[in-house]
Amino acid sequence: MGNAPRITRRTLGGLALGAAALAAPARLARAQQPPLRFGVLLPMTGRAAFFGNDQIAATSWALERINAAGGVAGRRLEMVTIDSQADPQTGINGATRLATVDRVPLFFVSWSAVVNAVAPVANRERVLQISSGATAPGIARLGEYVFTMYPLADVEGIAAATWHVRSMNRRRAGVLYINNESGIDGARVYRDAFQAAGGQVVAYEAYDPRATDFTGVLLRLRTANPDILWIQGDVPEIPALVSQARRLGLNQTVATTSIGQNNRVLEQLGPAAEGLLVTSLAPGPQDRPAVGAYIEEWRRRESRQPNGLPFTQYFYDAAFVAASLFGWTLQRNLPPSGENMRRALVEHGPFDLPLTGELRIDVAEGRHTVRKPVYVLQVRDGAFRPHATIGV
Amino acid sequence: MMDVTVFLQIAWSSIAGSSFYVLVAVAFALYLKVTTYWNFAQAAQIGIAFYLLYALVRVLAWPAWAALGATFVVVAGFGLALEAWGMRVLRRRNSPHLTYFIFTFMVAQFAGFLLMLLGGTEPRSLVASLFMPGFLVAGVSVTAWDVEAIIVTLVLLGGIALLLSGTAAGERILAVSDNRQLAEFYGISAERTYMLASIVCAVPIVAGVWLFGTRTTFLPTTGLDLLLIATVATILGGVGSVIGAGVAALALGLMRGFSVFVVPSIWENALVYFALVLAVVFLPRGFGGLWTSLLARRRAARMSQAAATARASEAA
Repeated sequence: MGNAPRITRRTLGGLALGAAALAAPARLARAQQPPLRFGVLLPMTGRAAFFGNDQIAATSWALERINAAGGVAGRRLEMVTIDSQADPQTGINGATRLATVDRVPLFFVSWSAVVNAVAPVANRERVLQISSGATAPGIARLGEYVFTMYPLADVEGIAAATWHVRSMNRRRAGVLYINNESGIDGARVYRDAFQAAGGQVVAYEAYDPRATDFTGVLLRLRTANPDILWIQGDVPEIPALVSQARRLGLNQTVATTSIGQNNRVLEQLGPAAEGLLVTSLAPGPQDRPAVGAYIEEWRRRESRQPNGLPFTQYFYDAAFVAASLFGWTLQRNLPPSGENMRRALVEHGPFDLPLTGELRIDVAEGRHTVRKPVYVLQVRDGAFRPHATIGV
Repeated sequence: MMDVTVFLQIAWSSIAGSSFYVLVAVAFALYLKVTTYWNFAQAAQIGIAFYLLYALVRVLAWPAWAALGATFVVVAGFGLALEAWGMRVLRRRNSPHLTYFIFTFMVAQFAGFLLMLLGGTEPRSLVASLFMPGFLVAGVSVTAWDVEAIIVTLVLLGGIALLLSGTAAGERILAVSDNRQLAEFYGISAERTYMLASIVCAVPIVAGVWLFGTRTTFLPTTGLDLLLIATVATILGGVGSVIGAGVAALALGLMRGFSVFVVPSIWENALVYFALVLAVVFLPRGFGGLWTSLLARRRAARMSQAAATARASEAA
């Protein structure tokens, strides 16, 4: 030991400088490499744009964070956004552009009708498609390149219906659903689960997304005398539906999906929102402190809460999923192609995501699903308050 | 399950809930009657009216009367600008009707996207809370909004009828709508009459938007949704019949309200469009045309009866 060369501070400083000088060209070379790009196909215009734009904002903030921390192996991560208008045909055009013009190996998408419509494009072009907000149960079987990181309606609907029967002791459900793909599929799951848990669905009514007066269907529900009313609907109609129901004497418990967890619903319903139950498929600030910081970031940047908080949490985390998948391929010196992104997803194992927690994607053929806890919130004193958590 | 109270409740809610459809249909049909053009740019006027009312009432806290007055001026001004720099140019070029259709539709789409950029994409309403406590009248839940909607609609329809039948301006509008060339021969300026019609149409549009926005939520795409119903009502009511369009809009509202007792609610929309298909096939001139032909047949029957009586008395 006595003959060992002495390492002085000066030597250490020199070594550090030397190492930095040696590493600099490598870092520079990585930084000069083209960015890693993935696609985001969401409604930026149209009826659902107020959700889509907030989801895009969430992804872009996550990208800021990832890139500020050095990106993926030193390379910038970027997204290419395409407007789907929540319309299947526009979605197909957008997915085709992402796959053949922008040549991204991976894209995130939402809205059941769009997810279904673009799946053949993803399978044909061998581009990994990850649904981050759609709930139609059929998404589990859309092909080898189509996966979901968002729990499908069977998770939310089954958990809610079973909980309504077993924990809330509700026996007679009235189901009111929007007459589109998400509404029809989601309502069917809820109805079947409610009946399987021992309850009875005494009314099962659809409504037109463009309707403004719901008196007819609400009176049919009133006549059936349910003890809980489940709305499988969309944000623009929920305030009018609930206020008209209350006015017509439907004073039963009203419950709805995570769509209802929206401050606009609270504002527009006012006191009629009290007691409203909503399910959520993402943890809240009480479950995960990072969510509190995320909500604070919305207040700071936009002076409001996001529309559809849980959906934006998933899209925030989508950027981290993309980073992990790109990182996996780069570590193995594989080109980030669609095939390799799929391979990365299949072999990656669970993801630990900042806002939605652990994500385990079931990659078995024909059942590409995820399981998550379902959180129940109730409106009390004009705000959504945690009410219960239903385990997987 | 259909007892008298349920029947009355649906009838009352459907009538009140149809008020904004009636007003928008009347505006759409009136413009069509005067100019013979399907003006889908009225969807842009609907959107402008809503977002301006929203800014004035909800953001700047103006009183409703002042906001409505200012919105009327802007919406009427938009209509006049569209006439001066759009429709008049197309008329000078002798453009076919399809060009007007495409032009007005593009204006509506452009305005929709512009409003989306300026006003955001969230559903908005003109009131802080959409919850309207009701009071019971013979078991029927009635809200202050219902009463306001029905009174406003009746007053405006009465006013438009009075304007058309009892004023010089209304006579000019009717003359141009009947025969533009003949009206111009008598010194009536068709171009000025079109301008006048645009101003008149702004009144039911602004009122309809106010009623809509105080009852439910509005999106940048809502203008075209409202105009779709107005188009259906105009066809059902008989092209050229302003009152027919209003009555058809009301009938559509009632049909939708009562349809859930006839067909499963999932079929409600299909029923409306099936009725439209039937109307187009069997009543190409709509209910207005049916009414006119019934009156004409009755008149012809009376005349032939009078002629037969005269012949019989001559023979006697």
